[in-house]
Amino acid sequence: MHGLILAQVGSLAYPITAAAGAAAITIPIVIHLLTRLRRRPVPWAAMRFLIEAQRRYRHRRRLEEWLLLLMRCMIPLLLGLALSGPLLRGDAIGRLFAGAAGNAGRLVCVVIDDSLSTHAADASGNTLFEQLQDTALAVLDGLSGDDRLVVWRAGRPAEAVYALDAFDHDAARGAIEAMQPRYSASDMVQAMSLAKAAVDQHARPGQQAWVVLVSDFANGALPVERPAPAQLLPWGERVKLLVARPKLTQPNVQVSRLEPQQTLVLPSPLTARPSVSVQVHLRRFGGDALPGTSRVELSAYETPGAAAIATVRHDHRWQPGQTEAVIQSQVPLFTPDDSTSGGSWPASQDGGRLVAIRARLESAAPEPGRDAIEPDNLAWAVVERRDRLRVGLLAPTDTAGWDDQRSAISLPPSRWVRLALQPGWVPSPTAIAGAGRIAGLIDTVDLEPTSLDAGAMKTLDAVMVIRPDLLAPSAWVVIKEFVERGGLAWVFVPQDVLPTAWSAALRDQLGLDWQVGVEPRVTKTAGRQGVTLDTDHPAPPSLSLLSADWQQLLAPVRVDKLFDLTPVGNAAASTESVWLRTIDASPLLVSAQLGRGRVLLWGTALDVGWTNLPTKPLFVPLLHEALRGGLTDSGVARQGQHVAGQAPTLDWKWSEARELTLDDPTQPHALSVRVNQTQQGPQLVGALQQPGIYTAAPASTGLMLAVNPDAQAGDTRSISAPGLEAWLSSLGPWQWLDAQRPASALATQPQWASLAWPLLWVVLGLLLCEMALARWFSHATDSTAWQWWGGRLKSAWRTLKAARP
Amino acid sequence: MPAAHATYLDPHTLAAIDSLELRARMIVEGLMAGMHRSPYHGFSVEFAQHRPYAPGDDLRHLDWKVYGRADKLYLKQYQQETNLDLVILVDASGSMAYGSDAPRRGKPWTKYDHAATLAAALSHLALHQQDRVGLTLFARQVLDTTRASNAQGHWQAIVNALASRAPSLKTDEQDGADRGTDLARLFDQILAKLTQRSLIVLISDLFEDADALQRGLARVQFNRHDLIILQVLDHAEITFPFRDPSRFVGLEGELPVGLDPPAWRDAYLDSLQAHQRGVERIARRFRFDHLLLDSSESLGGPLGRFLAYRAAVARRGNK
Repeated sequence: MHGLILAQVGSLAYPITAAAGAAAITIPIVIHLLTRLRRRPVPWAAMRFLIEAQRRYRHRRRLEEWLLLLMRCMIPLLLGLALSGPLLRGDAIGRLFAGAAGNAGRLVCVVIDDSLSTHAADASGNTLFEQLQDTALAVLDGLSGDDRLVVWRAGRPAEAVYALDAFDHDAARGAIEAMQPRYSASDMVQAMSLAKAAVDQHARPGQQAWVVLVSDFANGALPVERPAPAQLLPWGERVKLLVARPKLTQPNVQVSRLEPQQTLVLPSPLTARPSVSVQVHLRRFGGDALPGTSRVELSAYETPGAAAIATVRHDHRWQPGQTEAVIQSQVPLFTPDDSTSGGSWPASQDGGRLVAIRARLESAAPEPGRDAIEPDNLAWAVVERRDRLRVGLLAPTDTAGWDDQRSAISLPPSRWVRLALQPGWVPSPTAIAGAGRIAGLIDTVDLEPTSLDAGAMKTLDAVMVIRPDLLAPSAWVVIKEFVERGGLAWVFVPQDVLPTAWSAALRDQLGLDWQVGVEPRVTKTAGRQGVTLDTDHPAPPSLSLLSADWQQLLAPVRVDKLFDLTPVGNAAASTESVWLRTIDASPLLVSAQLGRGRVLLWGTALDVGWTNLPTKPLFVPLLHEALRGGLTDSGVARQGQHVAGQAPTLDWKWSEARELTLDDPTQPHALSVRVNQTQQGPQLVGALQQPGIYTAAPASTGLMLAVNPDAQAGDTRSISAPGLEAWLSSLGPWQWLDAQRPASALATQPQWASLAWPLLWVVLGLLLCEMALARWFSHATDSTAWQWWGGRLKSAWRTLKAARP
Repeated sequence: MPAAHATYLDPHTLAAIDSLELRARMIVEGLMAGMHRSPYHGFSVEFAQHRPYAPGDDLRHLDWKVYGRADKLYLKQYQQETNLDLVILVDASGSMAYGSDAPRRGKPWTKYDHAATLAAALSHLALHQQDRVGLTLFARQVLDTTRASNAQGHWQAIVNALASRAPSLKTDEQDGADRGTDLARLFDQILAKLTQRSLIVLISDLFEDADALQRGLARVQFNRHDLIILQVLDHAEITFPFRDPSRFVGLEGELPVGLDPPAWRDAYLDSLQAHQRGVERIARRFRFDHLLLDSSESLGGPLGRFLAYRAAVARRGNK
């Protein structure tokens, strides 16, 4: 090992001479010993002064003798080395004097793209990332020993792989070899910004800097359609840019999106078996969009890694030129053998349980090689299965018994709502299909409007604001937070109270884009009944279950008095936002998205003097389906999915979680990411790079999180070369990396320098030093050094002569 | 011993000394009248000087003639001439056998040769002035003693003693152990035998501890004797001129020391000079004269200058 290092540093033309020089070390040692042994005896009277002088200066004289002896040994050694023709590599010399010069070597920043597109494999199974790794390692072969190196990875988030800024290129090589491609998009601009900052920070004045971009330059790797971002400018004239050529486009098919239509799955009122409606978005790139068939397998998992609860498959036949497709499917959340209602599922503290939905592209193309990237054939989503809903009634406590009511039609609004949500007393189960089962799905909780707090709302799924006029401003804040976390708030108009105050709170505190009219509009006049509902207005998606009987349910309803609901600002009176309207096109029930939840606003009071709706068949299914649809529609469903390479924002439900664990059976160890509980809420330490289903610890929280590959990064089409060239030229000087010999641009020819003359100068210096020190130590009084040396030689000669027998 | 006589009465040396008078800085009390002056200004023999009268002075010593001529009162002061007891102590230890000078008649000129010549010259001069001269040869102990006398032929006895006790160049450790010096012990023995104040001349290389030298000189001063220290060193000992790596072997039983002389020259000289400074400091402290003599140099010049210096000091003391 050491021999190899020496061979890399230098060599000797005549090693024998060096060996002779090493052997010549013995000459001064022998002379020294002979001199000690062969001293001429001299009778001397003043011995006391010699002895005293020796006693006082013995250590100093010994040190001087050793120093002189060392120098006398070094002289033949270095002389022999100098005459042996020593050669030293130029980079070694540069490294030797790097400290003095201060700017020796170059600063080389290597940016390696490890985004999702680099997973693309060719027919032989080699991935693009492996090719990029080989290119980066080949670039390292061109570096000299005194070049400093920094390696960055460009997969989001861009970060340093090897940033020791040291000469240990083997360590950098090991770091590159240990890299694995990520599942996130490429953030080449950020990586280049970091490289530029490293150059600005570490490159010494006058030192050359290189930035090497090793990427496949798939679509999206660089924003070539836009000007170079400001943080990259000015790139600097001393920074030279080396760029690997874009790779060829490979066909790829991916699951671009998996969208459950509900995140909260309730048992079906018809079959009592839960199932979730999902949309699978497919996309394909390259390959000229040839015809073919893709099979998507949809599975539901109770726990990640366990057997699927149920699996369904769908085939999609691609038409020529078609690049995107959507598959609609219903994924059952029960096993085929499960004949029960499914109510036996273990429930978490809020009565629900998370279920993982997986979409997997089984057969991407009719022939092999048409799907380059494997990881983006998989997508995960999480839905919550719930057996019961908890709904709060925000109204003064209704203590009156049935006997106190004069008649059924004079019930207060809260009583109407309660009876609609819990219609167990309905005498005829055939009045509404499945009403008996529905009765068991919803629990109601009475809430006092004047003392509403956040604690009371924590376990609720929805709240019915029957008396908004009684709410304090702080209560509106509580409701807003509740809705933003995913809850549903249904605001009813109280009778006999003008909505001046609470209508402003709706707009200001809750942020609702709808305004309630100042006074109620009376539609019932003498001899004429109130307005009917517009039966031509289609049922909103959230009430799709009622769409079959929509017109029949709406027809008997009359509205005698109502407040006009008008949109404010950008709110549009679309079908999605206006669920019900009267025949004169006045919105009667409007919906608005707020955060992850929804707000419903009812434009008339639940009083028979205002409308006959509470007494009509529409009332009960409307409340139930509005709750079901409002809580589980697709707008909420997308919130549970995250993209690899990002740190998802965790809501209050994660306040007890300590870490997230990905139990991937293909990996030897489970991947864990810590969750920090801060004052701003739970926060993940770092991004989630690996796609899959992460479970929260402790397991009692029952929480799961789906992380999918960044589908946008699966676009395997290459950036157009002209666009890339123009974009790079806007930065400054650059050149392509030679695909065959990537190291050629950075390679430096090893320059061998002779060390003979420097060594001879050193020998001469040692000689002069030895003479000066010897004269100084011995206090010689000879006029010239030659006389002194002559005396020494004569003395040595006499010693040798005396030693002869 | 004609040979010894010829050696120690080198005409060059004697010619240099014969032109000077031996003067002691402090005139010791002697038994014989001679050329040496008493340390006390007496009234007996020889007029010395006048001094103004001071109240309380003895009127018998007034110079009436001066009073008659100048109408001023002066006292007459006289010098009493005394005989000198000169005691010469010559170091005959092993270290005195060292000599690096060019060999004379087949052997090197040793420090002892130098010291003996000097002792002979001084004794001859003193005897010529009718002073009594005694000689003691010593090493670690007293080797030989010649009693003080100014009789005819005494000088010959001194010369014979000097010649007979010359140390040999022995480097044997066992034999050399007793060849050192012990000045404190020497002065104890010498002073015990001196019954009157004397001028002691110590001729040695003084390779002795400063403390021992100090103790010895303290005894001399306590007994009110005068002392002249003539330190004899070889030129090699003063300059340490060796160049080749050598093994130095002691002459007084020291262990051999192998070293590279040029490397140790400064250290040696530092040590020697520190010793010399100590000797001079001790001599100055006791107001004794100290003269360093290089055995390679002529004896007459330095000795003549030293005796002139002593005479000048003595004259200043009389004024």
